[in-house]
Amino acid sequence: MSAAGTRGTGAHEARNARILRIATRSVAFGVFLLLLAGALVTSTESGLAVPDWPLSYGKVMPPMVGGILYEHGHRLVAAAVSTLVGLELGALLFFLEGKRTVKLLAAAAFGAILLQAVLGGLTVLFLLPPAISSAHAALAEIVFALTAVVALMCSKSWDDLTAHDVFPRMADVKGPRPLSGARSAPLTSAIREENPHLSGLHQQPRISESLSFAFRWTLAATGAIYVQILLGAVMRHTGAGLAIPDFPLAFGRFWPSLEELQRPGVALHLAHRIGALVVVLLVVFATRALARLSSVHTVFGGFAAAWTGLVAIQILLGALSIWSRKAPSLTAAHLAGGALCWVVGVLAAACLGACRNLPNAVSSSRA
Amino acid sequence: MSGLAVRFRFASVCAVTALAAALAAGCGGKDEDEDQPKSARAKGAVSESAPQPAAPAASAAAPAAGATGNASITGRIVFEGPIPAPEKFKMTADAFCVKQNPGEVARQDAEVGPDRGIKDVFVYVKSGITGTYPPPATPAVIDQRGCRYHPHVFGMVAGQSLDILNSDDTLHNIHSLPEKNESFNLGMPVKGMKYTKKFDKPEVMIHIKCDVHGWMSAYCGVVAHPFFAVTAADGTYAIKNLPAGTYTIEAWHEKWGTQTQTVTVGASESKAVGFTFKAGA
Repeated sequence: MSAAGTRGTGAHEARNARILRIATRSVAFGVFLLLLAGALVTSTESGLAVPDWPLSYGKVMPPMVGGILYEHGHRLVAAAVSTLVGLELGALLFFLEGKRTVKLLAAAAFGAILLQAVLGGLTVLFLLPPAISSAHAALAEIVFALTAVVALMCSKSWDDLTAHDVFPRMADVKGPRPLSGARSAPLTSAIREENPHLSGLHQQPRISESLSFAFRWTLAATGAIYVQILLGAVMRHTGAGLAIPDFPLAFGRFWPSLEELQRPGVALHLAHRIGALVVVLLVVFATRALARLSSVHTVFGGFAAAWTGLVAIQILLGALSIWSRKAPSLTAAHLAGGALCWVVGVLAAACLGACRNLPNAVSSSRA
Repeated sequence: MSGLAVRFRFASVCAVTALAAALAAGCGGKDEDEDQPKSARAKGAVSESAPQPAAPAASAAAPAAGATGNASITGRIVFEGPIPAPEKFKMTADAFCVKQNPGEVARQDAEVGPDRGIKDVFVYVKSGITGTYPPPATPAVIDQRGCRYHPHVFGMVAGQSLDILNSDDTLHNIHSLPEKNESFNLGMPVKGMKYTKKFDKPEVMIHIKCDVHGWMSAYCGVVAHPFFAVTAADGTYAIKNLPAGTYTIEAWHEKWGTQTQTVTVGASESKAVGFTFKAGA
C-alpha cells in the first residue's frame, strides 16, 4: 500500500491515490462554489423567486430569468455537488484502504449535505424564517469544512505531516538542513537560538509544546470565526446588514447611543463588528504560533500566510459591503471570504491536531 | 473485505447519491398545468385562488356599525427642496420586461411632478373613527403588467378581497411581507393567472414584491375603514363620506416616511389638509 493507502499495487495504486487527491479537492471546491451560489441568492434577495420546492414553478427547469437564475441555479449546483459528495464517499469506500476517519468524515459530509437540501427546501416553503435560513447557512460551512478536511487527509502534505519519521529526523538536526520530504523545510536557527540548551531529542518536547500551543490558538480562532459566521448569517437573514449604515464609525460615532442600540438589528450588527475584532486578535495570535512552526513543516507557514491575507481581505470586504449599500457581488464575496477563513482555520487545526503528539510518541518509542 | 462486498457498498452509496441529487434539484420531472396555482406555495393564506370576489361577511355579534357622512378631507402633498431626479434602471433581468420597457425606466419610489406634487402617498384616517366597517364586496386589484405592479401604492379595508392578476407573458412571484398579517408567496408563471387573497388585520403598510424581478415593488395600506386615499400624479387626494368628527390624518410615503395632522370636520364640511415632505426628513 502506498502512503495514500489506496487499493491495488504499484502504478495502479499511485494512480488511484492521485485520482482521489484530485477528486476530493474538486469536491471541496464544488462545495465552495455551492456556498458562493447560495450567497448570491441571499445577496440578490432571490430566495423566494421560486416559491415551490422541490420543483420550480412546477417544473424541473423553469425559465432562468431574474431571481430564478440565482435561486434555481443554486438548486442545480446543489444537486450536482451533493451528487459529487456522494460519489466521493463511494470512491473512498471503494478505493481507499484503511483511513477510517476519512471515510467517516466523507459520510458525515454526505449526511450533512442531504440535511442541507432539506433545510433549503424548508426555508423556501416557510418563506425564509431566519432560524431555518441561518441554520442552512451554518450547516453549509460544516459541509465545506468536512469536504476540505477529507481532501486534506487524502493529500501528500497530510502523509508528510503524519509520518512518524519527520520528527526523529528533525530532532537529530544539528544544523540547517532539509528534512525528509520535498515539502519539509529545515529546522530554523531561530528555535536553536531560543533554546541553546536543547539539541537532538531534547527538542522534541519543545516542538510538541509549540504544536499544542498553536493548536489551542488555532482552535480558538477557528471557533471564533464560526461564531462570527453565525452572527453574519443571522444578520443577513434578519435584514440587519445595514442596521448600522456607516463604517468604521457607527451612526457617526465611535459607539452608538442607547437609543440607537435599541433599534432593530443594531445590537446584532454591532456584535458582528465586535466579533470581527475578536477574530482578528485571535487570528493574529494563531498565525504567529503557526508561523513559528514553519520550520516543522512549510504547510504551517502557508496556513499562517493564507489566514492573515484572507482575514485582511475579509475585513475590507465587510467594509465595502456597507459602503456599497450591500452590493450583491460584494456581500457574496464577503460570505465566501468568511467561508475561506473558516476552512483555513479548520485545516490548520486538523494538521496541528494530527501531528502535535507525534514528537512525544517518537520519544517514547526511542526510550 | 471481499471485492463483492466492496462493490455492493459502492453501489449502495451511488443509489443514495442519486436520491440526494433528486432531492436537491427537484424530482418531479413532469410539467404541471401552469395555469393552476398548484405550483405556487403560500403560507397561511386566508383564501387562495377563489375566482369570485368574497362577499362581505357581516357578523351578528359585531359591534356598532361605523357611520358615514358627507364630510370630506382633501389636500395636496408636495415636496420641498430640489426636486429629486428619478433613479433609473434597466430591466435586463428578463427579455420580456426589456421588450415592454426598452431603455432606462424610472423607479416609482419618489415620483415628484414639476409642480412639486408627490404621487403615491397613502393618506388615511389614523384615529378618530369609531364603529366597524364591513369590507367592500368589490375586490381590490393588483396587476402585474409590463413588469410593474399596478397600482404601485393602494389601500384596502381589512378583510376585503385582493385580486392578484398576472397580465404579463412572463412569470412573476408575488410575495407579501406583512408584520401583522400572514405572508404569502405565490408563483404566477402564466399570463392571465389570478389569485385572491385577504389581509384580515389593519396594517399600514404591507410591502409586496417580486423576487424574480427585484425592481417590482408595491405597498398596500390595510385599514379598518374605507377612509383612505392615494395621491394622484399632481399630489392631490380626497377622503370622502366622513362623518363629522376630529381625526388624525396620516400621510405615508415609502421613501420620506410619515406625517400626521389633526383636523376637525363638521357634517357636510370639507377641509383641506396639506402635507409637505422633504428629503431626509
